[in-house]
Amino acid sequence: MTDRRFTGLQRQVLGLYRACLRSIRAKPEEARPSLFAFARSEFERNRNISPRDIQRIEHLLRHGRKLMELLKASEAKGVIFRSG
Amino acid sequence: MALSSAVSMIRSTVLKHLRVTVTCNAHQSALPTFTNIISRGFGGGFLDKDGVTERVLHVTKHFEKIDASKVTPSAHFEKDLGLDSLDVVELVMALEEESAWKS
Repeated sequence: MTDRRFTGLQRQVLGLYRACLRSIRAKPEEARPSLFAFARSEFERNRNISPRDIQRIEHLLRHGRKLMELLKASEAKGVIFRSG
Repeated sequence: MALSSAVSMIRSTVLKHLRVTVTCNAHQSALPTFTNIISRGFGGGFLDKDGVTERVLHVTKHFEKIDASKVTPSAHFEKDLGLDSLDVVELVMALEEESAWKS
């Protein structure tokens, strides 16, 4: 199936975002808004990296996956997140 | 047909379709649109095209990032509704929840 709109890396990024949202859904209800805001801000922060900067993107993907695994651990109940 | 089969029908249709719409579709624009979602066809059973259309539109209109007045079945997520790719991921998740699909 050809995918004209997104590169392989972009699809990995979107896949990671989706995986993050799924794991946040499994968290206690009161923790979810700040977790969603945190996840979104992390991706937003790096929005303008050049798509050609493959090393940096792959580094960020690894970092994001590790962070997601940390947050999935049942002991982690949320983040303290202040925007801005 | 059990509710759960109807629900998984919505789920697989919506999921497959919202993901697939970024690929080339010979007959329509490659951009994600509701028309792409709905045109897959829902076959027989309790789910009819109008019912699913209505649910998809309902969830979309209530999506906080979207101006409800702009939501129509032919609306483009990006061109008409101003969504970016992260927003589309969020919208698909909202549609999954609407289908009461449990991951």
